[in-house]
Formats: sequence, structure tokens, C-alpha cells
Amino acid sequence: MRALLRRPEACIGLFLVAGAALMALLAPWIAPYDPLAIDLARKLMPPSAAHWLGTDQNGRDILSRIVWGARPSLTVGVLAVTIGALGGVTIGLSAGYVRGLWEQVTMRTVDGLASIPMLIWAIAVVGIVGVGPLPVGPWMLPNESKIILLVGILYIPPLARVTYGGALVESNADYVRARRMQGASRLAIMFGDVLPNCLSPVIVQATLLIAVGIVVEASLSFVGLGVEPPNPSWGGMLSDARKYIFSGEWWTYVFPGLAISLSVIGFNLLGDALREFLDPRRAAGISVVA
Amino acid sequence: MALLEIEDLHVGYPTVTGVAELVRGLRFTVDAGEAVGLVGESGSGKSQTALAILQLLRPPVRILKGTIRFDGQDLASADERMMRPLRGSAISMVFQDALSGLNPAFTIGQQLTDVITAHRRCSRAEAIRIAVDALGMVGIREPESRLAQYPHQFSGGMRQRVLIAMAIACRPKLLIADEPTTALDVTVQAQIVELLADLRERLGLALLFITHNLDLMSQVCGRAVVLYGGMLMEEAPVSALFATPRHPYTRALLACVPRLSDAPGAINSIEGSPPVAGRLGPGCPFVPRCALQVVQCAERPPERVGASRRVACWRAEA
Amino acid sequence: MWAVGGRIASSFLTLLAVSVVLFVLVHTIPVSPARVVLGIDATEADIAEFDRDHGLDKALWRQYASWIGNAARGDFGKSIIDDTSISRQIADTFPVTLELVLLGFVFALVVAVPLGVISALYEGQAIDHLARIVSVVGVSIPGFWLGLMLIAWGAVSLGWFPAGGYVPWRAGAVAHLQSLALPAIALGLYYVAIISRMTRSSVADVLLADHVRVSRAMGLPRRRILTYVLKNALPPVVTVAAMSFGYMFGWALIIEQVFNIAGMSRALLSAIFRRDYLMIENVVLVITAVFLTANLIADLLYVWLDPRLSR
Repeated sequence: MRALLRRPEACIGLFLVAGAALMALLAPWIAPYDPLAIDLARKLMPPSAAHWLGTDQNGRDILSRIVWGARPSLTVGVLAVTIGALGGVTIGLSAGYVRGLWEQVTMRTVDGLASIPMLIWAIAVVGIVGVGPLPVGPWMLPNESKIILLVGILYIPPLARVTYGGALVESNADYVRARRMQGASRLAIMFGDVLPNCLSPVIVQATLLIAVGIVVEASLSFVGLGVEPPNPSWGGMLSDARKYIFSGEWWTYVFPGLAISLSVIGFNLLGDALREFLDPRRAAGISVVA
Repeated sequence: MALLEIEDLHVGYPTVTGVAELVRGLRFTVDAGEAVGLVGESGSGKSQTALAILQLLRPPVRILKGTIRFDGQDLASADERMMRPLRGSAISMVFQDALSGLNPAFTIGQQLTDVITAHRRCSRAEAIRIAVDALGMVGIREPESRLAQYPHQFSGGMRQRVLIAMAIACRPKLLIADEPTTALDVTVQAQIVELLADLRERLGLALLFITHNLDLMSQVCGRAVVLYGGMLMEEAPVSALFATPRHPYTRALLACVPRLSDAPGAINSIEGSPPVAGRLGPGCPFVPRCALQVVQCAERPPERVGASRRVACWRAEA
Repeated sequence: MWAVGGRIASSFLTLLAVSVVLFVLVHTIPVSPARVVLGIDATEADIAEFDRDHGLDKALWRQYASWIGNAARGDFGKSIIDDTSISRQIADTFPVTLELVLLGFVFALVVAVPLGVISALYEGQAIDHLARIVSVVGVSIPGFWLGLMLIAWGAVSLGWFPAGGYVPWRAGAVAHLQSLALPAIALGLYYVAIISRMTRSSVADVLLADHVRVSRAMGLPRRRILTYVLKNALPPVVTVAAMSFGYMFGWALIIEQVFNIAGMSRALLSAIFRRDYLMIENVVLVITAVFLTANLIADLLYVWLDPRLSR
């Protein structure tokens, strides 16, 4: 940890990520105003002591909306990566350890999944299923849950591949053979011995994918297929602010964009630093996922 | 007159605690048309010496001090503009990585003619003729048909032959061969060494043959320079070196050459490990592994110069 | 040759699999297309008639087969909302999106490749650090926000570019390119970052190769050595670039919204808000096909560029 923090990029990354995470977690306590409270008397106010980042077309406090807007962004990023990691690690690990037909079937499926363009399918799935809350049993999940599910599934291939690569190498390592000789069960070896040793690249990849998830959520909210108004989201705020580009209310479109960019920079810097730290061999590895 | 004269050469790189020296005050010469062996274990500074001659040292390693006189010019202080036309033309080099020494993305014809046209004003047809000629000279059959092939279509030994062809295409006066056979099979090793000996004779070029293998060296070279810890230990005609080694290190090295009389499976090696650059005092670097050491060995050993040989040791006479 | 044939076949299979998924998705949604078009007041008889008219009463596999059969011939059928030809809509909007993507792609390549090469040659120096900052910032700024900022700066403040809208070729080449310049930059910056990183790491790897040292030892001029290095460093860059081209179609839809360009996003998003399922299905199929083709080309180029694989 200390070695990691010696790099300035890592510190900046961690700081930005921590900032975004704290905003999301502590939104009710940090946000100075109710993000939904409309006050038309105070609409489109420039930044001031009362409203640090100004107000929007409905007089809502932009800072408060940015703080609350961190929630859907990070939720999509983190939950999608969680789904992708659960699926990807299970598939990659079992394919790399069990081999044979299972390996063929799963890795071919992963290849197929990787050839689905993420953004367009996110748009299409939300479009086909329809914008609106998703009823699951007694709960009404917000519209973003469709994005989380789809992006999560499409995150499986990159995470499965890095896990698979590690699992292939580790499965043939001497200590794994020794454990097999001792009669340890397959599952115990897979999750107890092989997994911990091929986790580093997964962590790196997952961190970078959170960044992609944030951008995907913001983009979809921007075109009206993500977070439903009036709930605050960074992409939605930018969508509202479009018309003020021409009339000069710069605070409406600069700050939400900065919020997205800074949190995404945070995850990208952190991911890069983790890669150089945990996985220096692959320090150059680059993957396009969107 | 000597073709190559190296005088008081120091090669090294800066570290936090000072300068780590890989070559420390080396002096030797190579005459025109002569074959000299530069012998030592890995880390003795022999490859760094070769790279220094061509100014190909990988930064931060650099020449710290000394002169390298080639054909009257000092290369130690030469700049890139002066060095580039010399490389591959007057002085050529063959490296140990025979398998990866050719560019995989270009045909060997392209690579050969590029070297030729880099040094000679000639037409493409002329360059191809020279390339074919050079390939024939290194024993590649039907050279014309192989020009269009890529390196991966050649075996390891053949690739090294192509690299040698590239090195001699412009008729250098000096060919430096840095462990040219390490990446190859034992049977191929002998062929390559034979080829180098043959080329030296036919083209009249001088050869600086760098190796840790005394046996291979003796097949090509007339004279040998033994290095250890970046310093010259002994220099002598090869026959004299084998018959009457003077330096304790040379003796130890010769004792390691496998003989038929050895018990099967016996591996001979010098006890202890070679020195680490930058951690050496002023004295003889071989002291920690030397059976004959005395108190004076902590000081720089004197170079004792005889009729045809030199030895740097307090306990030996040239 | 076999490998190439296999790769093409597998792309086809993937496209078929994707079309099945799309079809199932569209045909299992709880609200039937007839309901959407006819409204909640429609009687069962009305709906049955609508389904019959649009072939929605046939067995699912028959519907699928006729959809794919016709799509393969370029006939995507008719919109269920207003009976316009879907093929016509796609033919009208696709070239616009394609041109935007091409411009963004060219912008990305022209900036990224030299940037990557230079930063690899001057590793650890100022230009390399600058390139690193560009790449981190570039992958992090969402294209649509960059688009908004470019409008604020290039169109509103400076007035050099139109704030949006698509000016067709026939209205003049300059005006046409002006209308696409900012969108192409907004679309391309992310890929400048991705491609320059790939170029840098690939060139840096090759620079350490033994054969580069041999080229230096043989006295080849610097320029010649650079071309030697570049040809070796190219294959991974080309792969990433070709894949990027496919991905750019997705982001282009968002960028088109920012700049009000009548490309495929207009066809797709209006279809979504009108719940025109067949339209959505076909637009997504077309873009997925383009994406798969880009990936296929990426793989084939890799094989073609590496003499060890192609011969």
C-alpha cells in the first residue's frame, strides 16, 4: 500500500475515487440542499456563496444534484463490474482449470459475447424493454438496473480472459500439483489456491471497467435512456443544460461534466497504478471494451 | 601497424554510490588480418568492450575514459555522425542472439540490400548481386531464391549465416563476433566457427572473437586476451596460453575445459562466483577465488610484459 | 487459408446468434407491437388482424426465417408504426453515421500514431509525459460532454463552426466538413488515447528487440531503422484501430444527439421512443454486423501483416 502511494498518479487517482465514493455514500449528509427541491425564483443562478456551483433551470442546487448524481453513476459502474467479475472469474477459472470440452464451450461463448458492441446494445435493450422501473418480485428496480445487467454481462469476456490466462499458468504450477497429490478437492484448489494467485489482473481490469461503466451510464442518461428525471444524474444534468450553451449559463454544463471526467480519471489512474504495481509484466496491456 | 588500438578503456555507468565500472583500464591491440580472442566469463566486460568499440553501449552505460583508435581515428570520442558510416562497413559485428537478430517483418534480401545501400552508392540490381555474393560466401545454397524469404523460414544456424553475410557484405576491415554460437546447437557451432576462420582468411579481415569457450577460440584465433572483472589478466599467443598459462585465473579457466580423460558427468568449474560490477576495490578482482593470493594482491597488480605476452599478477612472470 | 475461412465463418455464426438473441428479445416483451400501435382500446379482433397483416401470427421460427432471409437481401421490412420502409431509413441515415465515424477515425489515427511513436522514441522525456497525460485525460472525458464543450468554445465563443446540424456535401465541401469537424473530434479523442497508448507500448517493445541493435550495428540510417521498427510494431496497433472503428459506431449515436446530426441515432432513438420494435431490431442488427466486420478485418489484417502467419 505504501509503495503504491509513492506514485503521484496513484495518489491523485485514489483521492478522486475516494471523493466520488464519499459523495455517493454520504449524499444525504453532504448535499447542502434537497436535489429535487424546485425553486423557480432562484433559477439559473451563477455560483455564489449560497449555491457554490449555481442552480439549474428549475432553481435546483447543482452541487447537491452532483453529489446525489454520484450514486447512479457509481452504482452502475460498481455493480456491473461485480456481475462481470462473478461471471468472468467463475468462467475463466473453471475453463483454465478444468480444460477439455468445458473450456472450449465457455471460452467460445465468451468470444461471442465479446463481439457484441456494448453501447449500442445497452441502448437497444433499454429501448426494447422500455424506459421505466423494472418490477422484480415485490421490488421496483430503477431503470438503471437494465443497464447494470447488460453492461455486467458484457463485462464478462474481458474479466474471463484475464482470469483464464492466469488460471492456465497457475494450474500447472508445482504447488498446485502438490496440493492435488495431497488429495485436496477440485473446488478447494480452484478457489483456495489458483484464484488468489490470478486475481491481480482481474482487480486491475475491474478498476478500469468501473470507469467505462460510469461513462456508459452518463451517456445513456444523456440521451434519456438511463436515470429517469427528475432524479439527479450527471448525464441527465448535461442533457438539461444543453440549451444553456448558447445563453452562457456555463455552470450548468461545466460542473456535471467535470464530475464525470474527474471520477473517471480517478478510476483510470488508480487502475493504471495498480497494474504497474500488481502486474508489472503486463504494464502495457491495453484493451478496448467500448 | 595495429588496426585497432584500445588504450586505458573504462566503461561504466553512474550509480547513487558512485560509478560502477564494467571495463577498467583495458589495453590491447588487433592487427590487420589478425584473429584475436577476447576470453572471459559472463560479466567479465568482454561484450561491453565490443559494444564500446562501435559506440553501441546501452545508456546509461557509457565510455568513461580511454581511447579506441581504429585506422588512425579515435572512436571513443566520435559522435553518431562519424560512427554510423563505419558501422557495418569498416567495422562489423555479429551478435549472440542469432535467432532474433533478423527483423521478422522483412525479407532477408531487403535487409541485406538495405545494409549495402546504406554504405555504397549502387543500383538495386548491384546491391542484390552483392547480397547474393555474400550469401554464397557464408555457405547458403541457391542464394538468389532465398532473398525473398523471411527469417522464420531459416533455421537458427542459417540465420546466423545470414547475419554474418550481412556483416561482411561491405567488406569490413574488422569483424567483431560476440559469442556468435551460444544460441546454436553444438554441431552448428563448429560450422559457424569454421566459417569465421575461413572468411578471415579469404577476405583478409581482422577478427575479434569474443567467447567464454576456450576451445572454440583456439580454433580461430592466434592470440588471446583473457579478461576478468573488467581487467586484463593475461595476453598471449593461443598456443603459449594453453601450454604455459601464467595467470592463476587462466590456469583455473583451462582446468575447466572438459577433457576426454575426465570422469563421465564431471563438471569442472572455478570455485566461488564472478565479481559484481561496481563492488570492486583497486586490487586484483580474482583475489577472492585465488589460491595463490598474497597481501599485495589488494593493490592493482602490475602488468608484466614479456616478449610476446603480458600478465597482470603479483605472483606471475610474463 | 483455412484459418481465414474459419474466422469468416465464425463471424457469420456470431451474427446469426446475435440475430436470434435480438429476435427473442423483441418477441418476448410483455407489450405486443399491436398494442403499441393500436392503443389500449383495440379489441382482440383488431389485434389479430394487425398481427395477420404484419405476419406476426406465424410461428416464431417462420417469422425469424423470413426476417433473416429478407435482411440478407437488404430488405428489412416495414415499420409497424407508419409502414415506411426500414431499408430506406437505414439507407438514408447510415452514410451520415459512417462518414462521421470515418472522420473521427482518421482524426484518431492521424493524432494517435505519431504521438505514440514519438513518446516511445523519447521515453521518459517531456513529450512522453505529455502523451501520457493526453491519454489518461482522453480516455476519461466522455465524448458527449467534450462535444458540448466544443460547441461552447468552437461554435458559440469563436463562431468558427456551426453549433450543430448536418450540412450535406452538395451544400459545399467546406460547410460540410465544418459541420462534421467538432463531432469527429468529440468522437475521436477517446480513441486517440487508446490508439496512442497501444502504439507507444508496441513501439517501445520493438525498440528493445535484438534486431534493432543489429540494424544499428550495421550502420543503417536512423530513418531506415525507424521504418524497420514501425513495420514490426504495426500489427497490434492495426488490430486495436480496427476494433476501435467498430466501437465508434456506438458512441457516434450519442455524439449525433449532441450535434443534432441526422444519422442512425435519429432512426434508432426515434424508434425507441415510438416503440418501433422492428426498426430497433434492424438498426441494431446492422450496427452489430458493421462491428463484427470491423473485428474480422482487424484479425485478417493482423494475419496479413505478420509474415510468420500469412505464409
